[in-house]
Amino acid sequence: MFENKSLGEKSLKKMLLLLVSLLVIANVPILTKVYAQTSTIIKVEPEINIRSPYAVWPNYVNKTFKINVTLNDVTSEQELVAAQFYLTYNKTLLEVVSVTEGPFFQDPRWNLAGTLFISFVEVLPDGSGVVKYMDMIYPNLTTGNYDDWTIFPNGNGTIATITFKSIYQPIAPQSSESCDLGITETMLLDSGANEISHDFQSGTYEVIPLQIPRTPIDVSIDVGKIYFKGEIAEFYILTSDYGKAVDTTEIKAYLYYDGTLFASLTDAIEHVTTGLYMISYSIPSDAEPGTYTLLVEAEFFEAKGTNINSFLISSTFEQLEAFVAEINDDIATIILPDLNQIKLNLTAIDAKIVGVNGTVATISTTLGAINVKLDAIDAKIVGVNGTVATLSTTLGEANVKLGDVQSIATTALYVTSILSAIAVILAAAILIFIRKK
Amino acid sequence: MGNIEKSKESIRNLRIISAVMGFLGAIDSMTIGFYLLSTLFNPILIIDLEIQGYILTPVIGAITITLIYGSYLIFKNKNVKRGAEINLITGLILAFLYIYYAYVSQPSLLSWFTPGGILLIIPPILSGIIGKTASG
Repeated sequence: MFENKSLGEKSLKKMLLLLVSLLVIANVPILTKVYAQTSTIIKVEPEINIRSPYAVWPNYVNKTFKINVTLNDVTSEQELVAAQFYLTYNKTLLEVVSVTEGPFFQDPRWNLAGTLFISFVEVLPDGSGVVKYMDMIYPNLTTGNYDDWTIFPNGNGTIATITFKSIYQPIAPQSSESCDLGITETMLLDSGANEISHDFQSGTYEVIPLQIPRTPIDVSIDVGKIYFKGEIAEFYILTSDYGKAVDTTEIKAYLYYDGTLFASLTDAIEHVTTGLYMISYSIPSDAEPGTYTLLVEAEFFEAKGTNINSFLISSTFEQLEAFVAEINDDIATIILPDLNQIKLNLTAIDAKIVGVNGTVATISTTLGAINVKLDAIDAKIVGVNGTVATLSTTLGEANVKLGDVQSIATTALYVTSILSAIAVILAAAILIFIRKK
Repeated sequence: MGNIEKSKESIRNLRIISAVMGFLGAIDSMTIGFYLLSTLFNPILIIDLEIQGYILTPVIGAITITLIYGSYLIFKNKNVKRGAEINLITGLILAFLYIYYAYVSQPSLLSWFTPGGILLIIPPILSGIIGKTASG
């Protein structure tokens, strides 16, 4: 297989091979084109033709895809040990995310001493992007040759996987865009640093234009019937196009009261999922009671949509028999029979415990009194002082009168202690008198 | 002869004082128990303290009955020494109970009544000491 050369000469040849390869990678052009003389072929797979998943939305910007560069119909007799190629692409359409070594050269049948894989992503003078690739199976690092190899790469396999990101998609009526994924500067080397004749086949990339809707998009607003000062109101907005939820390109929300703008809620809009938005708004404690209207304006490229919905802000829930279900981080979930539940910031409504009846505490707020079970405010007894117990709660400490029975018991304690004091003094006096007598 | 009469009279007086102190101790025990139980079974506090209430009820009942029994023995001159011992031990148990609820338990139910509450536990202990003296 090898001529009878000295070990030093062989090692030198291998080093030269490596050097040549590195020079090629380092942008030193070696204009060697070898046209098809054998069936060995380097090609891009698959041939890419990108289309949006559906005609309208979403677009194909920022989506990634992978291509493989493969070697085909390689024979062991060719003693292939190194490969090189450049892959050019249109930088305005694509961006390279990563270049990884394929499994072909890493096959343990011929990868006995490891592989050297190098890749660069650069820009050519004409503005095109280029991926420079070189991969090589290391020779025996002691002898510097491939004498130990009984089998060399053969068959078909992937030598590189390149991940691209689509960065541009034309918008109708523009026409589709495409570019070559051009394979150039290819080189295959055998174990003696001789070139192996081969062919190569480039791929193409095409992205079709995005169809933008021209008809209005639907904007639905979901608000409650009634809110209270200090309540954390949640409004939901759904934007859709032909019944399909779509993320808008722009969305604004305004709250109106009495014919004037009360608050801009645009900054409070949160994206929940495709087409669904939520506004979490803390109703100010100084908000006037009355009817408020939420206006939402949405844009989806050229298409626009708008809608309004109204709700009532009430000043009190005094007659609604409200009670607190739970309190978390100063936010109380309050059940209003017939009106579902609301969330209120207890600081905003100046909540204070004003009384306890059994296991239910009454909380005074700027909206009126509400009841809460003692365990909902995490009430714990921290002290008892005669007829008054001190409770520690999430709303602060509260003193609670323990009732009439406790009053009687406390009075009895005072009376008997006085009686005991008198009795002890009398007993002491009598004992002294008896002793003197 | 006169000295013996005087001595008998003194012992009788000591028995009466001891018995009265014992009965007063029983009343004190009932009062402390009434207050503690009304607190422990209060609807507002019942979540935390109910179990203590169930334990304390028979304890207070037993202390009260024992003090009455000991005082009865002393008053009727049936077994003054035994009665005195009963009142002394029971008085110490009552003192332990008071100190526990005044200084140890959380929440403290009787801390507001210290140190004046000590007056409630002196009579049964004094009853025991005087009874022991009277029994010779």
